[in-house]
Amino acid sequence: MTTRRRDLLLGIGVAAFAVLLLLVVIPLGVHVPKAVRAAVLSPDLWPRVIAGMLLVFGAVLALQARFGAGDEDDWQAPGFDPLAALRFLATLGLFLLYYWLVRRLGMVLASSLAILAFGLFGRTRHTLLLLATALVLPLLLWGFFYEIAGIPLPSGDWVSWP
Amino acid sequence: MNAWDAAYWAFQTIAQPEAVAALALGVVIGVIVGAIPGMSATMGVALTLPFTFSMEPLVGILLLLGVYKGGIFGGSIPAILIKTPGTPASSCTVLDGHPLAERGEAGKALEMALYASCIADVISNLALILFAAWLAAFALSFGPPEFFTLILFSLTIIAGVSGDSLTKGLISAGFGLLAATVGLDLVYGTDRFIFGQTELMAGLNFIPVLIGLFALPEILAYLRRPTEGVGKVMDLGRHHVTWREFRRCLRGIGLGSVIGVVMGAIPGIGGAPSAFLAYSEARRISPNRDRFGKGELEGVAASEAGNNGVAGATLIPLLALGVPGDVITAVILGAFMVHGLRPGPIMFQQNIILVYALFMGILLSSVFLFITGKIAIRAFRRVADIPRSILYPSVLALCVFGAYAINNTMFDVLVMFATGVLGYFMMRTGIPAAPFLIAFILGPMLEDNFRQAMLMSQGSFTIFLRSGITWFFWAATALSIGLIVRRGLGRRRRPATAGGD
Repeated sequence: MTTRRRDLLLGIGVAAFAVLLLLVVIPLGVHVPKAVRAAVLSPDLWPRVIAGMLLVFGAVLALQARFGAGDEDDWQAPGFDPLAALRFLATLGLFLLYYWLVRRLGMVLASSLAILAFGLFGRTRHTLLLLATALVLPLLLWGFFYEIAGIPLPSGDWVSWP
Repeated sequence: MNAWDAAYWAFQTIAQPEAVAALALGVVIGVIVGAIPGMSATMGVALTLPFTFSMEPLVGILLLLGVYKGGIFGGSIPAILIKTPGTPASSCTVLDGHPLAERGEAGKALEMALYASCIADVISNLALILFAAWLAAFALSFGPPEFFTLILFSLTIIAGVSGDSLTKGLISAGFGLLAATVGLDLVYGTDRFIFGQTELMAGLNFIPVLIGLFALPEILAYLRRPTEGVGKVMDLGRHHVTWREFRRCLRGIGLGSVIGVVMGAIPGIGGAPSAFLAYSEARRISPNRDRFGKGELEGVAASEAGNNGVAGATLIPLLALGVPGDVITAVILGAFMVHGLRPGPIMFQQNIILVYALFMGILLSSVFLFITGKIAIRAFRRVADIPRSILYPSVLALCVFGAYAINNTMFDVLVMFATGVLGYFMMRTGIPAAPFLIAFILGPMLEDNFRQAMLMSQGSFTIFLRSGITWFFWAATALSIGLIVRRGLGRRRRPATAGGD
């Protein structure tokens, strides 16, 4: 995909999102009381102004991409890489797993496992250093946040520590 | 007692070893706290406050001032090294600091951040001592319409950090403004984009959004293709700021310091908007403006001068009028009151020795900041030598701890992950993240002041023309937009001419 085509799709997408905001999300998501004294004080004024801005800028981007003066040798993005896409989805899965593990094992243990998992997923060649980091760093952070700063770090349902 | 006698006794007081030690310890604590993402200078000062209860008033207050000053500089260290600002005020330093680190010039960026911070700190302290009363009176003449026009002018910064496409910068800013509207409405207290989630009532917290937007996209990009970046060696040890480079940045440092002093004296503005405005103005006057955002040393110098210039000046309304300018000075006001002192004009009459001793201590803090900063740079610069496959998982854990610690809720961690994915999408589509952040910070201030002004005037827009200050900022905004349009047209004409040739 060229950058021009990417920007065209992006502009259309932003404009469509702005229309969705104006017609669906703002009416549903912003509660406007009946006793509003003036339109300029209404809680939905600002979101509507911003949605209008996004509509205009999205349209401008699409028009620039469609009719603007572009270079002949427009930048060509590399083709779709299924492995990279899979790895991206797996990373998002690991994020959610990390979040879930904090609730089950507590912040410190979950962080140790997360450092190990992300390090191995990142194909580290420094396994020993990774192990040491996974052990030491969460303990240091626990010491700072929990012991010194007095912030109550979450303990897990399965392991109640700290 | 005349001024010289008071100064003599103040010197005797500040020369006590415990006062000097408290100030030095405060700066060290501040730099460490500021360097940890999620631990802001505000949190550092708040956590240190209970330890000052049993101390002498001067010793306790100097400890807190040290933490404050150290914390503001400390935030620049992770901003440059791992693209994760330690404090909101240092978020602007990321724009040029991290690209410099990627080029293997992290040591240089950190040194420049330190020099700019110390110079701005000295200028800010001198301004505090010389112009306290005058600046405080000027700052008090700012009401909602003046704030609105000031913030509107500050938003023109977006053009400066939009990169190659102003339209994409404006789209990014639009999303930032939209994200800032989440939460309870200020005037009516009704829901805006909460959809039943009680955690969203207070709005999206700044720190998780900031970490998600700047740190997570890098991690996602690395994990998507772990071999990328292999071979990029961060050579840090042999790069230092040369005299020529320092001289080149002096104009930006001076400008940033002045902006920091003026914005610091205005209650409620804070370091982040000041840093962005200083950055934008430095870019505007620099012959290297095209290199801003790609690793320009002047950018680091201006943004650090902007946020450190605020540090001394925020004490102006506090000491002169007893009005705290931001959250940190509100905590420091609490420390004064715990010790039975009430800042304001009466303190200048009844406790003049203490006031002078504080001024001397504040000046001394710049020296401690320089020494501690030099040591901290050596200690932290090794971070960039860590292999990426170890560094990124460690940064992720640090981000999770930091995001959680703001409000002690895992919801903020989810917000951080969500903005991280958004930031990655923006990175892939060429939408710059900086305008999002600026709009997210300034958006609520803009809306609140607009609506307060409307409430004051019963809906009449003429209130925005009520004073010389509002006229000045309208003119500055118009001039700024005019320059942006002119530059945009010039840029468009240049390739056309080149094509014709």
